[in-house]
Amino acid sequence: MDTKTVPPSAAPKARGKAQYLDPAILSKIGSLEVVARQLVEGVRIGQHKSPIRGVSSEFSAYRQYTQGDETRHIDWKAYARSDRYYIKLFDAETNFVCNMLLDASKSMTYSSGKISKIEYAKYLAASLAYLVVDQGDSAGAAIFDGKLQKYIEPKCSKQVLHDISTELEKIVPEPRTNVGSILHDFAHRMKRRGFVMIFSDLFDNTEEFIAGLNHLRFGGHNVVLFHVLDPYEIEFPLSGMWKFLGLEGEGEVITQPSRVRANYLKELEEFVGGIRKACAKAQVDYVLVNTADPVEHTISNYLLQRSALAKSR
Amino acid sequence: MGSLNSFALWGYLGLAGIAVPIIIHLLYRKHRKETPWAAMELLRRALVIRSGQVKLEDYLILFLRCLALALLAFALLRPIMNPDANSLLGEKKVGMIIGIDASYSMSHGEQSRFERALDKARDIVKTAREGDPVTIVLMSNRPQVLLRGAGYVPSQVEELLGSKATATPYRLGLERNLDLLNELADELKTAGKEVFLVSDSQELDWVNLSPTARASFERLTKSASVYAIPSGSDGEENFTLERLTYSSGSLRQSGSARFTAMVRNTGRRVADGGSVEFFVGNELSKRLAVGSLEPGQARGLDFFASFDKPGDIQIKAQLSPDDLVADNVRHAMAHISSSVRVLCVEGGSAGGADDRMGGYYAVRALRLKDRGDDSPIKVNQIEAPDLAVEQLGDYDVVLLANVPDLSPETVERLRKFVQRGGGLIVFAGDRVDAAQYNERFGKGADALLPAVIGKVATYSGDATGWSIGPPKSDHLLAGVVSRLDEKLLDSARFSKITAVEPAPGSETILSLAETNAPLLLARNFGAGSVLLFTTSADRTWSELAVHPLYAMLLQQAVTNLTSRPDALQFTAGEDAKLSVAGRQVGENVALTKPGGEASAIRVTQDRDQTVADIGFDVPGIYQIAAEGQKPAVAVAANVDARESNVTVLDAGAVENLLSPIGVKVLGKEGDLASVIEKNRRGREISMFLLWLATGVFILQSLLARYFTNKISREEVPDLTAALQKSRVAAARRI
Repeated sequence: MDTKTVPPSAAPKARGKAQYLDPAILSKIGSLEVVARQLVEGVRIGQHKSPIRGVSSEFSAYRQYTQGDETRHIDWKAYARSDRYYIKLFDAETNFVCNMLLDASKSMTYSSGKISKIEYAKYLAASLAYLVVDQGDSAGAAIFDGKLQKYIEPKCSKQVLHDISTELEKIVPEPRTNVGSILHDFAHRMKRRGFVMIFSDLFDNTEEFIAGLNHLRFGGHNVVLFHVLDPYEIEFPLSGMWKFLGLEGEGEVITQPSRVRANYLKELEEFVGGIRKACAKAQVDYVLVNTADPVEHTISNYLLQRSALAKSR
Repeated sequence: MGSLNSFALWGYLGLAGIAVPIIIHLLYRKHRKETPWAAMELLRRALVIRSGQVKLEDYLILFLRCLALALLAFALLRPIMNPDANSLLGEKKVGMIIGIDASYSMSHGEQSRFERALDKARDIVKTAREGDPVTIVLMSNRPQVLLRGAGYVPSQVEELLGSKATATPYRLGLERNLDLLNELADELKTAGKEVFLVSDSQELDWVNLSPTARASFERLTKSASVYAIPSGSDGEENFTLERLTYSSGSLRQSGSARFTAMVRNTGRRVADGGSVEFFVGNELSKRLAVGSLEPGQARGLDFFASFDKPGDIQIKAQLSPDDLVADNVRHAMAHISSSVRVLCVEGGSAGGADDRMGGYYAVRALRLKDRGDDSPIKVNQIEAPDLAVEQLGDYDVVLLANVPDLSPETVERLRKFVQRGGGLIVFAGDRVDAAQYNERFGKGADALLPAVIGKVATYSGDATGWSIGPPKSDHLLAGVVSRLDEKLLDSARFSKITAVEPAPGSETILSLAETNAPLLLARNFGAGSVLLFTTSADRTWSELAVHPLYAMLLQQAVTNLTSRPDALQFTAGEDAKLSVAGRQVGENVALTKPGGEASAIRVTQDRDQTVADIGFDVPGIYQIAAEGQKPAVAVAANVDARESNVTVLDAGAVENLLSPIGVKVLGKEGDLASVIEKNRRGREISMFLLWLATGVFILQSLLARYFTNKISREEVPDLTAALQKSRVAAARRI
């Protein structure tokens, strides 16, 4: 098999504590920050704007006092000028909760080069979790295949990074992903609006997946989809006669890849395009991840573009 | 359409070749690489769309590859196509075989027929293109291939026709030549094959084609275009010295014998034959005028030669020169012995009119009265029981006169005696035990006697017995009877004879007139001969023993058995195994050919005798010199007299005879070369097929390359770019 794909700099290192928190990656992305595209609800004061008016130094607006409002929020100066009771509203700055949803199905184990999709996704998830925690927000992780296998509650302590890394190491891939139902379950589970980052190849029922996405978005979550694909899956560069063995028990296919490449790529384009459109419609960030790209490049490209868009608003 | 190469061979190879891409295709499918794959759904969807197209492309490529190999195999088969069917295809190449009749009849005429034939051959070969395979054969009983499938080079062919092509002293021997021409035609690997037979078209060769020759012609016409081209002639007049043979007389020292030279007018007009000169040794002995002969008439000229010393004497007869000199000379050899020793074995009991036994009469017949002890035939008479102790090597002839029984050992000694050249005369009279004779003398091919002896037949008619019928054989002994007066012959009567069944290879010399039952039979065995009389040697069954014919027959029989003059005649152009008694296998004998050329011939074993294989290249005397006790051998070789009939068929007659078997006759009218060009046909399309195969192969290569690469070359970059754009676009929507 051709090994022309460039392995990420976050290629597997010696296993140990927090294996997927690679210093080389973290040093390159550490200066970046995750900027929420929308205001998210936080449990503590942080740098992200909360839709809930609360205790803050940044004035937002006035509204007329209604019965039940705390009297301490009445702006007496406004009362003196207008002889009416007004409540002074402030934009509350709050921290956010970010959940990493990692697809650990068998299809994610495919690798044409030095790193499989699942390994790549692990580095990606761990590095993003580090970023989130490092800026004072909470990060959690959910590992799923056909069902939710493991869930690590979001925390803002550094310990959670270790927990996430440890659980990532323990992953034993199983066949058949059902990303749609997992998203539905997760939408029900999350009480507060927050960040949801999904890492999957999405070789599953697309309609169910889109329904799951919509469910998450309906709950007010800020969703980022990292669509992880191997360069061979993107380019399909094989030549000669090949026997393809389905990783999810789909049986086998014998063909000459060069003869069906065009149609494969068209199918891939349709597949990716369908997901991309669904994401756009649901206002979900879509990131196509090529495991040939270094992990830090993938993260930094995404964050830089996200940051630039946030500032432009 | 035909083919130049074996259809079976190249057909099977073609099938094997067609199987190759299919096998490769199957092996290719079997020897695939494996990989796990995640995007199976995408792949399956791609396959659903592409599979029909891919299969079509695969089958198209496979078909083109098989077609290329099939065309290649077909090209190697070297098919030829009639240009009438498609004149645009193929390459016109002609392989030419020119058979020139080189038999000695072709020497006839002032401008010989052979010279005319060479001119025809030059005209024919002119129609060949330089490099085309040309074969030239001098046809005769010993065909000679001057040029075998060589690329045509005009100067080379002219040199061959000018210097090396000569007429031979042999007859044509059409069958042998046709076999060779078939072989040579098979060797030619050209689209067009042409066989030209340039001959004087002798009646004797062409009018009555043998079934073998006809079959050979039919085979030849299937593989090639066959043309007969009469060479033309100066005329058809010829006198031939047809035969020079010993007729009768004593071939012993101090004896004299009669030789007969047969002269025949083989022409079409009455003509005077000139004269015949007879030579004994190298001395002219006599000249006789032939006189005037009608067409086809023959006349025998007798010549008496006396021999004053033993040894091998050359006899030669030479006819006056005419238009064909090759048949004007004949040679003969006379083996003259100083004396003949005969062992007469008496086996009968006294009987008959004078109560004397058969041996008595035999001795009297052989030992001429007037010569007394000086008789050249010395006879030793013994009783049958004494035969077991007698040294047979001391005798030339053994005569068994009614010997009742013979031990197996004695029969074996007699067998070896005959094999080494001895003569055996057997009288199967009343005392002979037929069953024992048949068992001990053997049956079939190994039988020593010329017949299987049966029961005694007794005359029951009103006359005094059976009489001797007119001889039908040309045996010398038959000649003795033929020359006898009819009344005298009729007086020899037989009341009883032993019924016999002639053995294979035997010759019946005399038969009874009434029943045609054999009376005298002969058989050659090894270097010797056996004569079997089916009557008694005494007077119990007939009066032959006291008849004048009896002494003549026995005298001539002894002469034949000891000198065997018929065994000393061979035909030029043939090979023969010459019996060389007294020589050892592996030993070399010195052979002197006519003209003095000497060569060493190795002695080999042929059945029970030692022989030397001799090829009689030219007419004349062939001698093997004596060495010590090993006797000399001398034989004569002459031209085959059948070739002397130089009357020919005209072109129309030849066409009538040969056209039914597919042979065309050319040269009747017009320029020979232009007629040949018009008749030339046949194109080989192998080169066209090779080009076609190459084209198909290139086409399949291009198609395969196109099918394989069209996606990656044209559509793939767009798809990849689209994916990249979609990735970026998605990110910018944030």
